[in-house]
Amino acid sequence: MYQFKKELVIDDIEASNYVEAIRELGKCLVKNKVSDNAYINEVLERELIYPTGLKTRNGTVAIPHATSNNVYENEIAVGRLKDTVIFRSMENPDEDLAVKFIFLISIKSETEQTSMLKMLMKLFMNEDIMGKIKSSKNKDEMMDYLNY
Amino acid sequence: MKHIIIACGAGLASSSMVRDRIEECLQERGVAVRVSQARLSELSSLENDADLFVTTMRADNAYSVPLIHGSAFLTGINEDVVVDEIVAALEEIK
Repeated sequence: MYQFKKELVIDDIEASNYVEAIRELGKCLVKNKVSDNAYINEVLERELIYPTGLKTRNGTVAIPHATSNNVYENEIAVGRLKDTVIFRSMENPDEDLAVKFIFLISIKSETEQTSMLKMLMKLFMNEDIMGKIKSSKNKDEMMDYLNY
Repeated sequence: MKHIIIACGAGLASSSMVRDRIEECLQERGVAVRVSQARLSELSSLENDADLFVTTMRADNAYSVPLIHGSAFLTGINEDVVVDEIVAALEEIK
C-alpha cells in the first residue's frame, strides 16, 4: 500500500493561480529527486490541454500529472492551499473549479502504478477521511489522515 | 469477449483509475469484458479494435464506436448511472 511521504506534503501553500500552485508543489518533487523540473513544465503544458480539476463526491481536488521520462520515482505530492485557485474541470474544460487540495502525481511512464492510483481513488471516495483531511489543523494531522 | 478501451489525455493516470472501477463494477454485475487503455489522441486508430470507448474527459463522439464519458468513476458521482449506460451499450453490440 502506498504511503504518502512527509517531505512531499505541503500545507498552507500561497499561490494566486494554479500555475504558481503546481510550481510550488513541484519544488518538493524536484528537491526530493522524485522528478526533475522538466516534468513540472510538462505537467503545466498538459494542464492546458487536458485539465485535471475533479469535483468528487467529497470535495474538489486537482490531480495534475503528465506522461514523462523525467520522473524517477512513483510518488504523489499533496498540497493544501491557503486560498483556493481555479483549475479547469477534467470532465468539462469549460467549467472552472475552485481547488484547495492538489495531488501532484508523478509516475514513471514505463511502469504501471495502478496500486498507487487505486489508493488515491479510494481516498477520494472515503467521505470520513476526506472530511478529516479537509478540517485538519496542520500538516501532521493531514499526514495521519492521508495514511489512514 | 467485448473490448472496452478507456482513454485519457496521457493514457496513464486517470484511465488507470477509471479502469479499476469499471472492472470492479462490471465484475459485480457479472459482465465479462476485456479492458485496455489508450491516449485520447489514439482512439481514431483503434476503432476497429474496440466495442466501446470510455473517456475520462469530454470528447467529441466522432467515432464509429460508441463513446461513454467515464468521469463518474473519478468523481464517484452517478457511478451507477454510467455503469448502467455501459452495460446497455455492451448489450446493444452484436
